[in-house]
Amino acid sequence: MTETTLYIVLSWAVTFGGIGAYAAVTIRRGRRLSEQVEPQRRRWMSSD
Amino acid sequence: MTTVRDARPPTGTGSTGTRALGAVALVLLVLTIVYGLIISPPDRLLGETIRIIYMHVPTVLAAYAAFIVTAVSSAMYLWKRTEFWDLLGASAAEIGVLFFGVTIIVGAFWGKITWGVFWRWEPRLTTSAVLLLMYIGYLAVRAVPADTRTRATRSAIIGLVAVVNIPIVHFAVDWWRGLHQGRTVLSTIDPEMAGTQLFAMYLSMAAGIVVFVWLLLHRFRVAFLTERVEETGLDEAIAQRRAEGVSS
Repeated sequence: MTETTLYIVLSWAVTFGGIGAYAAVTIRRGRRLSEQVEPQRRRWMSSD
Repeated sequence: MTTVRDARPPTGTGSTGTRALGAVALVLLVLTIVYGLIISPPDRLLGETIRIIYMHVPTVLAAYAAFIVTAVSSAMYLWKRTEFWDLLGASAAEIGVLFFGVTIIVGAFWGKITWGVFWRWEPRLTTSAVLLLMYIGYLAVRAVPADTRTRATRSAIIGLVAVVNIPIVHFAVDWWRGLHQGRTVLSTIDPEMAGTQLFAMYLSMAAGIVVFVWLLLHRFRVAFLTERVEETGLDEAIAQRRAEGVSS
């Protein structure tokens, strides 16, 4: 693997990995918190 | 008739809108991978490193969008004093720091190939570091214990001051001589760029913006839920104190 290929792979991995991990943590946090809040106070659920 | 949905209300921060947006984001991301890594030919000047630019430009574009949302929300908070604008600004700032952090890391990889070093204290990079530090400061101020109103006012002021850095970062390549190439975002992308490369670039930019909006909706709802949980905890503590007062 050349140096250029290595940094291209790292760039895509950091972007997708970093943002993907943040998204996963946010979704999990949302699920955990929403269990502690009454459904009527989660207004966006009305669009389901 | 009782359905499964009635028996167990849906949990999480998803809605029909976020699920539709998430599906669009997924399609755009897959297309970005296909065009950015497979179909797009190497650039005449940048060579294979253009594939790094396909990640660098969309992340900085999304970061700028996030910081502008924070600034607008900050101004709106100072005017309306509502929780909505405070939480929206804070949510956007956190996502902006994430995207801008990725931009800087990816840019450093490009710099290592092109300049031989990960970092140089040249105008674009230095102003970018200052911009990132200001928004980390914004998030740090929000973490300082204070009542909701004080925290929101402090961070709104920082949100308005920090956004002034965006044009400085953006025009740094024009105002001062440095190593970084000319403006790309909000300017003409390399006019020599071939059709497929241009398409891959716009595709990745569209993906970046859609992912940002999708993340913002979820992050805002998490912030909203956090406030509700804290309120519930406070209400319970007050009720417990009252009960203790009655019994003693």
